[in-house]
This record gives sequence, structure tokens and C-alpha cells, in this order.
Amino acid sequence: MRNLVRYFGLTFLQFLGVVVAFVVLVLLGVRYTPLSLFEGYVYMMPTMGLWLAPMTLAGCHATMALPTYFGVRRRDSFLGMQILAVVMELCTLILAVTATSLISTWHTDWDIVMIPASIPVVLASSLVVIELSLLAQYLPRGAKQRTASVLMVFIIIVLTSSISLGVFKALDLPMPFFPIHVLRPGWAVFTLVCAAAAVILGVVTWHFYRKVVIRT
Amino acid sequence: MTTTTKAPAPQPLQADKLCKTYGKQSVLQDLDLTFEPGCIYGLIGRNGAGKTTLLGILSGQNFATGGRALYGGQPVWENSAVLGNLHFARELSAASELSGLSVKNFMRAGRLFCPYWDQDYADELIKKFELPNKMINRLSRGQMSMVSITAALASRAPVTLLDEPTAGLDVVVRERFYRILLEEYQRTGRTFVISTHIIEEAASVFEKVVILDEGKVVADQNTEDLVAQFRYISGPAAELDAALAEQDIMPLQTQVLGGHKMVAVRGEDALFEKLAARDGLTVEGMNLQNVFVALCGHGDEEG
Repeated sequence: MRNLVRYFGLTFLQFLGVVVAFVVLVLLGVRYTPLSLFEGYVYMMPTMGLWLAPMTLAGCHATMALPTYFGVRRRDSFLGMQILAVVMELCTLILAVTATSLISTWHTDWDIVMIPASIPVVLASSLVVIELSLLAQYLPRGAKQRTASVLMVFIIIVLTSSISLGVFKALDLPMPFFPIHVLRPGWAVFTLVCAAAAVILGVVTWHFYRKVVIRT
Repeated sequence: MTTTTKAPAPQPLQADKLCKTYGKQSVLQDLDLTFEPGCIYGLIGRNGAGKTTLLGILSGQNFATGGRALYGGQPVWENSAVLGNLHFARELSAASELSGLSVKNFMRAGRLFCPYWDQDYADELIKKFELPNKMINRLSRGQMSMVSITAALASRAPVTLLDEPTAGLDVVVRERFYRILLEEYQRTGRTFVISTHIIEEAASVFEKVVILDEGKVVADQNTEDLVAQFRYISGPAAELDAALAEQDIMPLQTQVLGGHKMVAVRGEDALFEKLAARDGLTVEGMNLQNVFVALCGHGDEEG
């Protein structure tokens, strides 16, 4: 297990490096240039968890196959990948919370802030997207293409809606969904539904992965 | 100098009534086979005979639709106590799942997950094969083979399965590979199972040979003993047909050229001596490749 942690740890560190670099760049831009220059990227911050890790893990088939090629049980490499996904998401969300809070202290009119209570909501929904992106890699060819298409549409919707937050704000329209808080009834139900969906998708992914042929 | 855990002695690797189907296509049918420990096996068969599927199932990288793969009597599938003792080296390709990795990262994974990995040996082989640290998909086909050979040998797995290890290698490197393999075998007594299409070149390395045809084992024995059972008999067609009828022999393969005929037959020394004693008939020995063609060619060289 220690070696799996070291193996997936490297993948995690590479991912973390990219996320930290992105966040630091945006923060520097917001701090030292007019906010409007970086507004588009800043609006992406709350939804970062919904597309960054899923897009990274959408091509992780080789990362999962390699331990099995070298004699690791499928169960262990699958579990390792699931833990990696959760840790990647948590780190992304913690960075998003930290970054949006910092921005709100620099720009008092900035109110699209991720708070710690947002993390369970976004984590649950992100895990659904991640499980879909994992599943897409192990489905039979036809189903794989359909799931990949659904996933792409989903990610495009997320990216578009994060950009449209800026439009909402510019037009001074009300944003009833904010703040995203796990204890608000609507978000609590959403979180539970997403968590259940993520677990179901995880089980389905395992069903396909456990019998996948390791190809080189 | 890195510390290496000494690998235990190899155990028998067994296919117990293995079946494998892909959709409606049956690849392996009730296959029973045992790879005895401490031997170099040649696994040969035509394209699609089921060699890669068999090796994949025996190493837990493919699942059987029926039957079991056993190592030392224990099931292989998802058994961490067993999987570390097996290594299945497959041919890498530019389009493969692992081709986006660098040679260094590929070897790093071997070092992390193979319990008996020998890093010094891996470094030595990388140097011997002059392998560059590039992405696998940027290597030539031969270099990709060298990567999987290096990982297979450095894994020091008691049972090492190599699928087409010499694919894309030039003749000099192929010779070098077989020499390194024999040195490693003499030093460690590991079991090697090598599937290859370049039969004659590897024949001298194989102590035992398993021939697969249409998902079934058609031969499984000592290479010399197997080859000794086959002969080419040639001579005038009428004379040869009479001799075959008299001895009640069904030829495995027949070639006719005008009035001259040559057949491949399986039998014992006494039979071959009787045939050789007949006027006009010539009895010649066969090599492993000829035996393979006789067994798996289904008489397709007739005419």
C-alpha cells in the first residue's frame, strides 16, 4: 500500500503543481492588475473542482493499468485511484476557498466567495463528474463514446455557467444559489443526491474495471 | 547499490480447464496445462491461437470466462500473495495505453510494485540496450521491446512470461537477448515462458515447448523429444503411398511435385527405420519450425 501511495502521490503532486500555479497566477493578477483583466478566471474558481480534476482523470487509464501490469491487484489500484480523486478534489476546493476569500478581502465588492461549508456540495457534485470520466474509459466502445459525449457536454455546461456568473454579476442580477452552503435545504438535498450518484457510478466503474484486460 | 529482496524458488503455473470467449468467439477451450518450475518454455501457435490471452490469464491481466489459473496451487486472480511472483511482459506499441509514459517512469513503477525488482540489473540492461529516456511512443519498435524485456528481467519474478519479446529487434539484439536470458536463467533458475513467431532462432533456447492451435494444446513436451517424433518422408508418389498405406499412417502434411511426393509424419524410431529401409524412400529429420507447421498447418501446403 505504501508503494501505491508513492505512485499515486507523484500523480497528485503533478496535479497540485498545476492547480497551485493556476491559483497563484490568478491571485497575482487580481492583486496587481485591475480585477477585470482576470475576472473570467476568477469566476472559474468556485467551479474549478468540477472540471479540473475530472479532465485530468479522464485520461488516467494508463495510470491505473500500470500497477496492475506490474502485479498489483485491481482492487488496490482502483481504490488508490478513488482516494487520489477525493484528495485531488479536496485540495482543489480548499485552494478555491482560500483564493476566493483572499480576493474578497482585496475587492470588497466581490461576493462570489467559496466558504468551507461549500466544500461538501461541490465535492459531491465533482465526484459524480469524476466517476463519469473514469467510467467512460472502461465502457464498451459504443457506450464509451456516448458517456464521453455526455461528460463533455457536462463540462462545457459547467464552464459556460461559471463564465455566465460574471454576466449575472455585471447585470446586477440576483444570484439565489449563493452562498453555496451544505446546510441550506436545497444544497443539502443536492449534495445527498450527488453523493449517492457518485457511489453508484463508482460501483458501476468497478464492475467494468475489475474485468478489464490490461493492454500495453 | 540498491537492496534487492531475493526471489523465492518458482512454483508450477497451471491452467485448470481455462476457457475464454470474446463475445461469440471462443479463444481458449477447457485448456489444461502446467508450466513446471525452473524451465524455459517456448509457447508457439499461429496468429489468433490464444497465446497472448493464455499468458494474460495466467498472469491475472485478463480474466477467464471459465476455469482457473493457479500458481503453486493458489488462484492467481486478484491474489496479491501470488501476483508478485509473476511478470507478464507484453509487446509495447506507440498506440498502447502505457505509451505516454517515459522509460524512467515505466521502470519506476516496476521498482515500486515488483517485490523482487533489481534496480542495478535494470540500470545495467538499460545501458546494454542503450535505451534513451524518452516517452515510450517516441521509441522505435525494437526499443519498445527492449523496454519490456528490461522490466521483465529486472523484475526477477520467479515466473516470467514474455509475449513476442523479440518483435522488432534486429538479429544482433535478438542474439544478445537470448544470451542475457540464458545467463539469467543459469544464475537464478527462474521459469521463463516465451511466445514467439521466430521459432527456429529460439528453438535452441527452449527446453520445453507448448504448441497451441485453435485454443487447444496440441503439444507439450521436451523440445528434443517432440522434434524426434517427426520426419519428412519423400520419394516417388506411388511408392510412398503404398508405404503409408502399409504402415497405416495418416500424413500431417503433404507436398506433391510431379511424380514426387513428400509427407510429414509423426511416429517412433522403429517406424522411421522401416520406412528408410524401403527402396526409393528418403527419411529426413525436421526442425521445430517444421514440426509446428506440420501440427498447425492443417495440411495447407498440399499441392
